[in-house]
Amino acid sequence: MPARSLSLRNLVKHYGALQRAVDDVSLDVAPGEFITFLGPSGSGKTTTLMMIAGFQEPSGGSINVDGRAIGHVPPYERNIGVVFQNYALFPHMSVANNVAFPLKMRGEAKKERQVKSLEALARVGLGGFGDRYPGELSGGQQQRVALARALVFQPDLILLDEPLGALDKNLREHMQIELKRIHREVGVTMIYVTHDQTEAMTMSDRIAVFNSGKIEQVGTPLEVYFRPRTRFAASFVGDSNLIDAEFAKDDRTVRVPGFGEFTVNPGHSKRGDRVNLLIRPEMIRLRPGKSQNPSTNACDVTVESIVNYGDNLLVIGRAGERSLRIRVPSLDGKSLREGMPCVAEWDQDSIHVMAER
Amino acid sequence: MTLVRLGAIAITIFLAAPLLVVVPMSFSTAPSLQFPPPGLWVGFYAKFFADPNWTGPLVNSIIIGIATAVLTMAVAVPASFALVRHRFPGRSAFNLLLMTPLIVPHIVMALGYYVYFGELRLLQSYLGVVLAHTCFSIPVAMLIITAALKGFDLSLERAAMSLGARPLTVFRLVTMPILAPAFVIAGLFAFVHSFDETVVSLFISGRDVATLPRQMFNSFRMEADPVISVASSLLFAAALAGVLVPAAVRSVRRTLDRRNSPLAS
Repeated sequence: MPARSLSLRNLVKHYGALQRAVDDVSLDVAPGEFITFLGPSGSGKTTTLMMIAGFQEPSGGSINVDGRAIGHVPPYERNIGVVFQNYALFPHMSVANNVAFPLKMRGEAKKERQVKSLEALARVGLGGFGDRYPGELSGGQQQRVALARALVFQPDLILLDEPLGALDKNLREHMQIELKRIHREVGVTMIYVTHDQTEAMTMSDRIAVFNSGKIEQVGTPLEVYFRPRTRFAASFVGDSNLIDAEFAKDDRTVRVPGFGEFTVNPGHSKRGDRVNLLIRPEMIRLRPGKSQNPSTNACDVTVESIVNYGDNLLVIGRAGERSLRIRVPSLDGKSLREGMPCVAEWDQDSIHVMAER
Repeated sequence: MTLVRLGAIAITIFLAAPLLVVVPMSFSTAPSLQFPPPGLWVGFYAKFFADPNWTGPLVNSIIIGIATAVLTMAVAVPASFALVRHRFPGRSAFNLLLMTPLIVPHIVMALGYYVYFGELRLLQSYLGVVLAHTCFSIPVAMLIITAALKGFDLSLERAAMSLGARPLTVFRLVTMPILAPAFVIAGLFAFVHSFDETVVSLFISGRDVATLPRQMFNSFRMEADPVISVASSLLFAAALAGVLVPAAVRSVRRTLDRRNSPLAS
């Protein structure tokens, strides 16, 4: 299937005079890429998707597919496949007729329609289901039909609006793997909207983090996880300790009220800069006891509570006014008890410094 | 538990009793209205269909019922789309206005029509009766259609559009077929309601366009002709069809869709 590029330039959507649902979004998506729009509800990710699909008119900016402006092309002429959260299968048509619908709209012969829709159904693992009706299928099966229907006409892009949101956890994980397999096999550019950060991490080539109508960061899952650009991105993706601090004397030493001083890798900060520090909970090590020689990248904490997740423990460690979230593998944390004094330590590399916003 | 169940059965029988009396009576051999029938016979049906005093009103009722259903749908479908899908000034007032015939007593409306249609020279005309019946049918049809429209998933239309269907095609292939059962039910309700309506018909239909219920009323007042039970049974059959037709339509549609399947060869 041909893979197309997508480019959004200064895209704006406002309702009335004040409310900006999408506020100056620019983004380039490479041909064949799987990109995820990640953000809380109301962050503008779905509105952006709806503008790409053509269901909403942009208030400003441009949308280009392979360099062709489509911002004012009606949705039925865009050649973009859309998969909806609630499947949106036509209940009065059989599965085969649902999948053949876009081919019929394109005036393809009956024979063609039959061959292609059978092929698309086989692709999503539903060969032999053509005679069923949507109401007779499970949620996961219906979503596969919706995907087959969006694939069958060789669209330039496929847009997926929280497609797994209505499925239960096990099925969701299974469908994530299936969706990635289909993306690999077909090679079409896919844009995936979700508020589930795990989904975004496991499936995407790149993630665009949306917050109040703007893109806060675009990057690979690992970039967004380890080097978030903003406090919001850090807190929305993964579990985090976010600590405000100030550069005390040079570009390597930060002072943290309540914790003392930490040493960080030298960057572009200078004395007096106020910053946010990110330390992921799984990067902190915990051992019972008290620190012997006070080092800069450790602190004494008291175990306040322990939450058991089976494979790991979440320990809330208290240091004076402050608390730290610490992830410990279950086996290592067997001896921990609430109220126990411990030392929390981390590597200098594990501290990520973000300019304060 | 058993007591509750017995009570429920008793109430059902009490409520259904008129039907249990009227339908067997229409097949009776007795020369007057009499229950239980001494014997079974279809003679009253033969009499009914041979007598222009009965067939005339039956045909009138059918004509008026169909015209009412068509006119009701012509108003109720666009009005329902406007009410559910668009916000406009005066929307709730418009909604309330359409619902008033449900609240105002029929006899009051009937008197109103008698005077008002008299001025307009619409008394004793098909048009007058159809207009009055339509007015009564619109609120019910609107209730059915707006409920279906509110439950209609707009992403179905979006999906169809993204798949290449132009707006009219979307309506023809997606919106219309999905809402069709509601349209059929609303239309049937309008027909049955008109077929059944007595009060307004008594006031304004007159001799030439007398409806079946009006003729029954007249006949009952004059002579208690047992043919009345035939007319009653026909009214009941019309109402029953209103319940059964939608189910039949659904099964026919599935058969058609299967035949249209790309898998069928």
